[in-house]
Amino acid sequence: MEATAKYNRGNPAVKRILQEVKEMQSNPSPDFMAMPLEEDIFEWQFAILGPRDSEFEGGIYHGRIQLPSDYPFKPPSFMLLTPSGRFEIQKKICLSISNYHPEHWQPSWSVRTALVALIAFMPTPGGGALGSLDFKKEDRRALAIKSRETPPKFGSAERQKVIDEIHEQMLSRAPPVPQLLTNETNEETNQLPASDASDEHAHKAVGGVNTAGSNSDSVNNDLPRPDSESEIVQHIVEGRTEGVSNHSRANLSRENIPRVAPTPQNPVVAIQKPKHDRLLTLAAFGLTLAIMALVIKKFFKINGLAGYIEGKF
Amino acid sequence: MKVKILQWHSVASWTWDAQDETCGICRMAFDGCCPDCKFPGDDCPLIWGSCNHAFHLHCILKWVNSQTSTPLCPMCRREWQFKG
Repeated sequence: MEATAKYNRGNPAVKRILQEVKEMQSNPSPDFMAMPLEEDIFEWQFAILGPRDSEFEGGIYHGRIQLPSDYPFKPPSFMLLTPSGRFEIQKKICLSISNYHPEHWQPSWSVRTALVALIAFMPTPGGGALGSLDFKKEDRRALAIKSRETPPKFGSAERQKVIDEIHEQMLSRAPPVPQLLTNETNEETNQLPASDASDEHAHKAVGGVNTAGSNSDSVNNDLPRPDSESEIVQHIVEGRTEGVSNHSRANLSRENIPRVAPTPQNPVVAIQKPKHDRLLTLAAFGLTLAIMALVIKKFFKINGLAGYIEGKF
Repeated sequence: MKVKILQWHSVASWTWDAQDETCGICRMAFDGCCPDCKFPGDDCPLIWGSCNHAFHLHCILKWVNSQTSTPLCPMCRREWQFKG
């Protein structure tokens, strides 16, 4: 930005404002637009869209923001330039975000948050606050339609240039003023036939009852009392026989198991010189390591890991 | 392939362990410094509040000293108390 070369970058307020200018340009919002003057970075020109679902919808409202010298530790002042029926024009308005109430200001707020708040304040009642108006809805809507035609006239040629530029861009973004339409949707509720379900349930119950009846009849007819008693006695006899045979088998298995007593073995003691023995042990250990290394190497070759081995060594 | 290490240089980097990346007051990055300072680090440290919001030391001191009534946290509007 060539314009930034003019400003005093040593001032913390200027640094903060430049930061906000960059942020505004990199993240533009469809609901508002704001930019500072070239000559004075502490004065911004902005335009906001009327909030949706309100009598201000479709309107383009211009305004001016004056930032203090010790921004962001002090709040800015706001002035509307387009007639809206909610705020007076060319007069500083009293809001919780404006310089009328420095006790409510937060340094974490910015121009962006202020404009969002301003859009949100539009549909609220003025309540007699400084710079507030309470026009009728019809008048406000008429003013909204009128606000799109021409941007307001204010200040010097440079300011007017900025205002006109903002107005053109807002016109390209803004949707037209909507007409009031009332659409009612009738929803039909489909109810399931409860009578059919109840009939099916009754049918199943009836079937079950019939089946149970048939079973009981067959049992009574096929099995008279004397025959059933004789069968029961036979079952008892068979059970006893089986038990006896199992017991006898267990006894046989126990008797046939052979018992082997453990026999202690005496270890053979080899008498040798300690030095000679130690040398032989070391030699054996070395040979074992060599053999293991060779085996591992061969194993890797077989598995095709030659490259890995070469790289590692 | 053999690699022989002849010499090595060590490099260290540090950063602030904060929840955000920028100061809520000056909108500068925490790894940077406040608008009045030139270098980050010990000369321009971060300060945490009891609400766990962090700001540059100079930014929050400027805000706290400019308030006639009880200072509030710029982010959450609770009463500002420096974390011990």
